[in-house]
Amino acid sequence: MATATLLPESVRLTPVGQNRPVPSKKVVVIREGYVPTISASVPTKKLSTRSKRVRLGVIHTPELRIKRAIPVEVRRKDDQVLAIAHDFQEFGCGETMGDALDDLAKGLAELFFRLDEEKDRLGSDLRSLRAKLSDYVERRGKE
Amino acid sequence: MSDAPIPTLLAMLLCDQIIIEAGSGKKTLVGLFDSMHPPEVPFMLPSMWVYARLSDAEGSYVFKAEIVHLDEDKIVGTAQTAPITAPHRLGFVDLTLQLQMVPFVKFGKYEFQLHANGIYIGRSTLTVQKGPRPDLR
Repeated sequence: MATATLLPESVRLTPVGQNRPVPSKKVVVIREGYVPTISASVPTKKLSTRSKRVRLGVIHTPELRIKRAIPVEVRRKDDQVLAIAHDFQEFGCGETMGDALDDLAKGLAELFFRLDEEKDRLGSDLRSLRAKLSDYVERRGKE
Repeated sequence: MSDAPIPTLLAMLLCDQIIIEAGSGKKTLVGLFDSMHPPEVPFMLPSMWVYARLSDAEGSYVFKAEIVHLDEDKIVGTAQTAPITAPHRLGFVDLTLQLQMVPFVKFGKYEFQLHANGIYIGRSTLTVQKGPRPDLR
């Protein structure tokens, strides 16, 4: 049995910025032979800034897995959100960032399969694109 | 930490409470919800839980939940664990995260976006509507 201690943040903030007392320590217990459980009790901090860059770790295809996080730029235009993977010249769009990232992930999976199917007939540009994509995405069971 | 494989999120649920049985480690998720009906906003939820089942996790991770108000595309809250270790990537890992003092600044749709070591791995959606619930009016 392994144990680890989680330390909560030193303060938690309310929307009006008042400090609250520090909650007590929580302990994670991982038992071998069971589904390990990671438990944490964490205060919620208030933030208002939004990152324009996301590291994507989702591919939404059971046959594939992400080896390395894919750098994605998130842009908002009117009511749409664009998620752009510049390395692969692919983008996804949707009403929310989550929708746009899902759309992009599906596009990347399709691109992976298409390039894999045609791998013997690719020109040099597409071969290098496939090699680059293979640095980030792989078929399951290959590791 | 950066060498740890990127976990795959298999399920992510929001609920009032999670009970973990001491002997077997079985989890009971109490009060699953995907909408809330407070009478007014801003509204502070004292406690809620996020349950996530992950695979492909092995090594050290910091998990972070970002709560985003989708209508304004603003992060209203974030909660982060200390570094924790997942034992074996071929098995499953259950992440049970209790969020305290969760702020809901306006009515509308919210997303709970889960990140592992700074990498986005998935989300769960929550709608906050003016109460009471339509079926209870």
